[in-house]
Amino acid sequence: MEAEDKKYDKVVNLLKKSKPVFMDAGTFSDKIIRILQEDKSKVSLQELIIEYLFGWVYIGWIRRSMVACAMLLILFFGYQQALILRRINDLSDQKVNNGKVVMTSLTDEFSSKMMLYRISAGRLPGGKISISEKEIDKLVKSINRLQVKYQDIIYLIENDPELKKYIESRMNEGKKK
Amino acid sequence: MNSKTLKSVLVIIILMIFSCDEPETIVTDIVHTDGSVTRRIEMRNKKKDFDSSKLRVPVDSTWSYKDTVVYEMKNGKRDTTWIRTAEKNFISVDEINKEYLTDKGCNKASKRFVSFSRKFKWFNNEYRFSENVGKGLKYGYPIENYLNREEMNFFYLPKSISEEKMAGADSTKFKLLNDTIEKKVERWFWSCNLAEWIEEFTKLTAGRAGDDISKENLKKNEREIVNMIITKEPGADTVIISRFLGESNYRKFRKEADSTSSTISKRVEELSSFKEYSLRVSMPGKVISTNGYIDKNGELLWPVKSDFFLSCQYEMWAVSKISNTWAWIVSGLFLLFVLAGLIFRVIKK
Repeated sequence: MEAEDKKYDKVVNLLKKSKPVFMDAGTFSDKIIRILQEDKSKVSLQELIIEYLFGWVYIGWIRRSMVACAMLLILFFGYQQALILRRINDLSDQKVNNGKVVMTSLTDEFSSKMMLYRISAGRLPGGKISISEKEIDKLVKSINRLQVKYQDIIYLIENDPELKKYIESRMNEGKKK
Repeated sequence: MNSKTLKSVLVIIILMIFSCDEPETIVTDIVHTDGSVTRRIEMRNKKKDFDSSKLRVPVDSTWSYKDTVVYEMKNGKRDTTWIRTAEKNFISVDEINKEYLTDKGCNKASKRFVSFSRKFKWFNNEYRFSENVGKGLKYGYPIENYLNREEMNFFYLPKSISEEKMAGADSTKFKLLNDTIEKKVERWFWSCNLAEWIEEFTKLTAGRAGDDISKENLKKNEREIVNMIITKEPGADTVIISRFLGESNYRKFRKEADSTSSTISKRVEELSSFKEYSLRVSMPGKVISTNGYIDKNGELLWPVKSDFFLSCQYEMWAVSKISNTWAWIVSGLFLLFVLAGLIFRVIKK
């Protein structure tokens, strides 16, 4: 073993003493430069893009501004969507199941005519009436009386639960028939 | 015969007297994103009579017309309905407003105008369309002073819906509500008229009338006078006015009082001559807010009748939105970019 070690040391010493001969310094240096340039160009393309895109992250005020803008955008989006949702929810009260909103209510015209009649003390416009004012007077008075009686009946019904129940059951029966 | 039936019979009689077979009208506005409006008017009548004086909104020869007849069998009798559809495209709402200014129909006395606006709100574009009818009386009180929220909602309901409610479940409740509203509306109507009368009368007698018939003093007696008007017999106006002003003041300013009454009567006549119709609006995009009613097709509906603009402007409005897809993409990319930048910084560290 000792002999082998000695041989090994000798070989190592010989190799250490025999320095490499630099044959073509120009080609060698060109080769090194080319390899270095190749490596550099490979890295710089990616890095250039990343640096170009994310260079701002190294500049404090730009970074903070970008983060603030993003936060504001998220907040604005949230606020706007919440507002829209709330407004849409409010709409549910205004939905009607049937589409029958067409004004067929001549009764409204009637009420306005009656109002006009009262304010003009019997002078109705248009000249389209084929009955006398006396008759209209009678009608007005009887409607007023009926309204009062009707109100009394409603009041009585509302204050008497048994009567209310009875009337509702009779009304339901009437509907079924 | 119970009182309800009797009342119904009386109402039917009155309706027969006043009904003029006038066309039942639905005005449909289809609003486009550029502010142009396609206006379609459907008039239904039992006779082929679509006289221009009966038209609820202005329609002239520049519109395209289509007439159809519908036959229905009702109780073994053939029921005929004439339908006239008129349509016109308006480049902007200004054109509709111009037509309103030159209106010769039965609602020409009412000041009506349409407005449209568009707002850019980054993620969405908001569109607002409104049709307005100006108030009939200058000095009337707002209806809100007389009706609570529940009553207001019922008051503005289209008649067909309120009638449906009164015939359905909770009918007693709704009938009672309707009666209360009718009474309050009557009081409101007369209060508005009286306020109008006081304002006009004090203007006419300015500088000549004594303190006892100053605006403030007359207003103090307003409630009492309204009660008298509500319970009065037809033809008792003179008595009420003389009690309102006092006998001596009435003798002194009788001419002014009569002139004021005549002016107010004219205003109310104009209001009561307003023929009601339905307004239907189709907005671009999704409707997000409105004061109208929404039917099952998503269309917006409003009844237009004189009660609604007696003392306040009646605005029928709707707001809709259309999403800006490009804005959503740009915002998403920006957020991703900022997030990626922050991750990149953490990795580099």
